[in-house]
Order: sequence, then structure tokens, then C-alpha cells
Amino acid sequence: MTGFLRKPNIYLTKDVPVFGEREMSLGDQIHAIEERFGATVVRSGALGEREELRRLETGWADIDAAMGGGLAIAALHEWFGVASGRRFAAGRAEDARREVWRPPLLPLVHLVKRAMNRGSFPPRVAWIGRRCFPYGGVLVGAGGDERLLERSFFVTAEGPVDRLWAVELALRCPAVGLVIADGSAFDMTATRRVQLAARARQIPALLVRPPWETRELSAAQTRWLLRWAERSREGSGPDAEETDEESNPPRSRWSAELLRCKGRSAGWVPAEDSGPCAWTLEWDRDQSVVRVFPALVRPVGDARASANDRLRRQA
Amino acid sequence: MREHRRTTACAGRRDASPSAESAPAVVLAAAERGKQWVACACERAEARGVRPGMSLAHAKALLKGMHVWEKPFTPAEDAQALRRLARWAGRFSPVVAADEPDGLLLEMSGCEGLFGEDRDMISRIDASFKKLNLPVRLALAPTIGCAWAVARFAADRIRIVAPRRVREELTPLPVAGLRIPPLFVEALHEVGIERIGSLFDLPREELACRFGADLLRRLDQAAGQVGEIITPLRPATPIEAARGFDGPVTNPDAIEVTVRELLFALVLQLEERACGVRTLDVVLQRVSAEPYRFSIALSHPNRDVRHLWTLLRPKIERAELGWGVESVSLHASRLGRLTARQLPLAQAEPQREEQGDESSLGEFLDLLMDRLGRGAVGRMAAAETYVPEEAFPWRALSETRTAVGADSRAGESRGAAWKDRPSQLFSVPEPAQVISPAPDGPPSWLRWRGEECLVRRSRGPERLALPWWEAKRGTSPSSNAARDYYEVEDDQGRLLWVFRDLTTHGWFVHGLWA
Repeated sequence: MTGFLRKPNIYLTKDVPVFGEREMSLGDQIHAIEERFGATVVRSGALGEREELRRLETGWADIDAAMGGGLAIAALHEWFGVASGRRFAAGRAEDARREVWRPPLLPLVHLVKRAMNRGSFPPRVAWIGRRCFPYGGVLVGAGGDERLLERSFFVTAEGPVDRLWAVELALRCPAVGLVIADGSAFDMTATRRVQLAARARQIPALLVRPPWETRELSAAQTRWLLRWAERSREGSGPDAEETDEESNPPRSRWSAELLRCKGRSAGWVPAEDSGPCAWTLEWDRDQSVVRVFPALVRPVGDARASANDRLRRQA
Repeated sequence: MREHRRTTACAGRRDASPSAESAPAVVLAAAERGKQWVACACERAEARGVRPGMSLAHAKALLKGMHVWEKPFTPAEDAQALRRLARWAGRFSPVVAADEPDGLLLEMSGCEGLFGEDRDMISRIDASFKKLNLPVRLALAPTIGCAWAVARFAADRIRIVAPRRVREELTPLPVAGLRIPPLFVEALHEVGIERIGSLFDLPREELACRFGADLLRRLDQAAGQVGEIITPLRPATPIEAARGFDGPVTNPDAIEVTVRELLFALVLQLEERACGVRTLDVVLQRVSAEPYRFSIALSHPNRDVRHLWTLLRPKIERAELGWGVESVSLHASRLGRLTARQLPLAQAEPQREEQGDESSLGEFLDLLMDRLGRGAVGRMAAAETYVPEEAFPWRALSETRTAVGADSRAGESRGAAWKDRPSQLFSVPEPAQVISPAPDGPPSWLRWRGEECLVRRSRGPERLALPWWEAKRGTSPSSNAARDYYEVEDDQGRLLWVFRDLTTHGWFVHGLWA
């Protein structure tokens, strides 16, 4: 609550009638904000059951099942990108901050396409922050479907303040149905604002963030950590026995790890050794969708251990 | 009075172009109840015997062997173009009228002093039309009717009628020059009257009995017995609102209140005209300083006071008032059509959401562009090229005329070409060092951004090159060479898109599947 009052001006420009019979006093303005905020809380409590139903099916059966039907529509989801290079992998966090990171664009494009194919989807998609702009080619769907390309618009905003402002504005625009934004250097307050705005409009907001920000506090509903999926040579991976170039062309694969899934069910946490929380995703270019790689045999414990090691090293 | 009135009539043939033997014949065809007929034909076509009103098949038979341009006849567009031309002709006279379907009327009384002699004036007008590639016939005459007839039926292309010679000039011209319906022309032909001169000799009472008062009126108008005035084309009244202060004002609050009130007045005008503003200029006239100007530009036409105020307010706050402001004016310099909108029952958020419309998107985009800069919001559209970096050019929304998602091009099936493209493409390919086992083969090791990686798998090459006509022109030096693209999976699991430049043989990383 205090986080909201610290920067009230952004809310006031929209919510306080400028052309009313009289200007509202500051007390009235604060009261209006409180009312609005209170209403949000009440509504989210009352609609708790129904919100369970409003989910975006990702098309990844295992993941949908683990999340209880898909990504929650009216929520913020964070996707941590992949640091390109080994300096980050070696765990030197101060080096990593200068590292280039790549947002997981193809999984996001997949989700956007899934969202767009739902009925009752407002037609525009806002991409905010130059880093998360995909190449136009991947927005053209299978068979030359250019709907997504035509409905997308791209906003270049530098700096977290401008990006947050643009994200909030986009989330309030009735014509926008989905917001994808570069969320690097967003703090807890910023993510909470995005989360509340997404819930008020009942549309999803997808933030991409650099991988070294996994320790930052956030109000996101789910957090995903993606890494390049190495082909293991030791024989534990899916491709160990495949060596033939013809039958095994180069692929783009990620291992996606669900770091957090709020509201999955009471008390559900991705525990160290219970239940799968890491999957291998693969881009299927013919269908222009991302699939869960079917023959996943990667030991989950490994993935958890390596991720936890990394987090510990960062800390 | 009549002596001083000089009227110029211009009769233009829109399709009359400099004739060359090989030039095509132009026929404007109209269709009615499934039948196509010639509405208008150019001189070359008429020389072959094509006449307006004949069937299109007949005309084509007459024009056999010639290259024929057949265009649809669009009278409404022609009239619009004529009105535009009339507005352009405002440079010669303040009183101009479009005389449909093919003429302009200019009132030249009082303009002689500006252009010198009559002959100079007329040749200057002619030269101006020639620059537009419009051959016209011109007549300068004391009456509208006379100028109309002489411009159309006189032997000379340019003719000046002396003040006292109106009757003499009209005498040899055909009766069609009297601006009477074709029915009357035919009736006059039947009784053997073909020239206007014959009408002057006939008793007026009998003419009125047989052909009605209209013929006499036209005759008198041409001869100058009855007055006639040109109804000039009126320029559109600008939409603006202004207010002056009683003495210089330095209080910013007063300026704000004034601009707000003027905004209300402006929006009322916009509502009357069913318009929305696209560019709004504000001028603050300051004491002993140049006026302070600023403007807001909108992506969609808008006349929502609240939204306009949101955009204006920060600019007013930043305005430098100097020693005081004497007057404030608002001017809508660019307008767009905006039809009336049903008011929602209550100004609640869900109501707006149900509208889910262009205007809310427009307001959103305006706010973005206002804060982040005009070029900050854009979209991508597929371009007709296979050069990867030029295939999806970024276009700022402020430059494109249509807003997001308005156009629905026929999507041709080039999707297959995009499926092998990465999700992230570097605008400038990044150089890489490569070890390749075969001279023309895929790389087996590469160093990129200071990192070494082993190549596990690769696919390719896919050769992309500019078409030869563009490569020769060398329009884009960065991409004028052929490239061999490989998809390369390295030992980290990344899938990179690398290429070898076939002229320099250097290797570059151009994108990756992220």
C-alpha cells in the first residue's frame, strides 16, 4: 500500500477526473485510490474460484497439468532469459551483469499465439522494450498467417521507469490483450504494480528478465528460468545414442524450470525432490509452435541441484 | 459595370495528351444495367469515330489495331478533382468556381493590374496549366455565357473577346454554346437553327413561346443583357479558437484555464463538422518576444477533451511565458473524419472496454509517443524481399498513415520462407572466427564475442543473394553479396545462424534462436 502512495502521480493522471465540477482535494484523491485498491482486493477474493478457471492453456500438457490447467490469465508471469556465454555459467555474478542475455522469445511467441487463438481476445499485442522484440519472421505463423504481425506494435522504451510506465499504460488500454515487456531491473514495487494492473484488466502480462535477477523479489504469479538445453554426451540425455546428422538436425531446445507457481494449490511448492518442475522445450519450426520434448528423461534432481548451486553462488 | 467585368472560362479535356502515333487511345467506360458504353473518349479515339454514348464493343471495333486504355468512368472523382483544380486556380483570382463537368470560371475583374495586359495574363494562365500537363482552352470575355461558349466552340484555343464585340463573337458559334439542355439543341436543329446568330435575329416572343423562357435567359446572359454572377468555391473555414487578454498575463493558472476553455470551444466546432483533430497547434503571443508555439500530434483523430488535455497540460506547464502572454490561440491544423459516437450510459471502465475500439488505442499510442518520442512506437510489416534484415522493416507509427492492424493484405504463402529464420536477428551481423574442415563446408569451431564454442551439429547451406538487378545497383552495400547461411548448434545448446560472405569469405553470426 505504501508502495503505491509513494508515486501517486501516475495513477492520478488517469483516475482522477480533471474536468469534474471541481478539482478533487488530495484527501479525496487518496480516498479514491484506497477505494480502487480495496475494490481490487475484494474482487480478487470473491472471484478466487473463477480465476482458477481462467487459464491460458500453454499447449504443453505436462506443464499445464503441473500448473493446474495453464498459465493464469489475469496475472504477471516472469520469464528469465538465457545468459549467452560461460562467464555467467561460471558463476561470477559481477561479470554476468555485463553479459548479454537473450530473452526466451520463441516460447513467448508460442504463448502469444495460443492467447490470440482464444476467443474474446482483444486484438492488439504490445511488445515493450527493444530487447524483447522478436524477428518478424517468427511472428508469421504456419502457412503465412500474418495476423499476429499485423496486430503487434512495438514500443522502444529505455530504462525501467519508462518501461514500467509503458507497461502500465498498455495494461489499461482496452484494445490491448497481451503485454510482453522487458522487465530487467524491475523491483518488487514495479512487479506488484504490473501484477495488479494485469489482474484488474484480466489479461496476462509477460515479463522477460535477465537470469541474474532470479533472486530479486517479485509479485509474479509464475517465474520461469530457461537455459539452453545442452546435448549431454554422457548418455543420460535424450540424444546420446543419436549421432547421425541426417536424422538429428540442429535444434533449438531449452530446459525450462518453473521456479515459482503461486496459487497452484494450497501449500504447493516446487520442492527439491517432489514432482517434475523442469521440462525440455523444443521449437517446432514446421508448425511454428514450441513443444515439450516428449522423451524427457533428464533427472529432475540434477536440474534442481544445478539451479540451486547457481543461486547459492550468486548469493 | 458590364464593361469592367471580365470572365475567363477554361474548358479542359482531361484526357487530351500530346498525340503520338503509338500513344494509346483512352476510353472512359461506364456500365449501366450490364451494358457498357463510352462515357468519354480522347481525341485520338474520336478521330476514329468513337462518340460518347456508343457501346464499348462498338468503340473497340472502331479502334481495332490501336492500343486502347479502358478506364472506368468516375464522375464523382472527376468532380472532386475539378474542385481541387479550382482551388489551385485561386492563384489567379479570388473568385473561382468549378463548372462541372469540365470547366473552370474565374472572375478576373480587378485582377488585370496584377498580371499586366490581357494577353499577358491569359498566356500566363495557359503556361501554368501547361505545367500541370493539362491542355486547356481559354476565353476572356465580358460575360460568363460568352466566355463559356467561346472557350468551347471558338476556332482558336485562346481567345480574348473585346468588351463591345460580344454579339459578333457569339454569332458564328453553334447553339450548344448557350448552356442549354441537349433536348433544346436538337429542337433548334430541327427547325434549322444552328448558330447563335440566327437566334438574335428571331423575334423574342416567338422564341419564348416555342422554347421557354430558359433559352431567352441563357441568350441574354451570354449577350450581357442580364447579369450573372459566379458562385465562388469557398475555402474551408479553419477550426480555431483564440482569446486575447486585457494586458499581459504571467499567471500560468490563467493560461491553463484559458487553454482549457478554448479547448472546449474547439471540440464543439469539431463535433459540428464531425471531425477529430490530428494535429493541434497552440500559440501563445508574448510581450516583446516571439510567440511561443507548440503542437500535439495524434495517431488517430480525436475530439475527447480529456485526452487532449492530458497531452496539452504538461506542455503548457513547460511553456515559457516571458514578460507575459497577450493572447492564446488554438488551431486544428490537421483533421480527420470522426463520426458521432454513442455516449456510454455511464463513464465506467467496463463500458469503455466493451467499445474496445480504435479510439482507446489511439489515445494510448498518443500518450506513448508524447512521452517516449514520435519514433518510439512502431510496427513491422512483411516486405517483398528475401534479404533477412530488410524483410521486416520497422516503421514508426507516426510515419505510417494507417494505424495498427488496419490493412488486411492478401497474405501470400511465404510463410514457408520464414520458418527457417531465427527469432532474433542482429541488425548488423557480428563477425566471428571460424574453423571449417572443408573450404565450402559448415564450421566446426567458432569464436564469437570472445567465446569459443564447438559446433555439434549444423545444417546448410542456404544461399541468400540479392536479385541481380539490385545487386548491380548496389543499393545496400551491406547486403549486396551472396551469403551461405548455416544453422549451427554449439556445445552450449545454442542454435546460431551464421553465414559466410561469398565475396570477402568472412564469417558472421547473424542471429539466433532464442
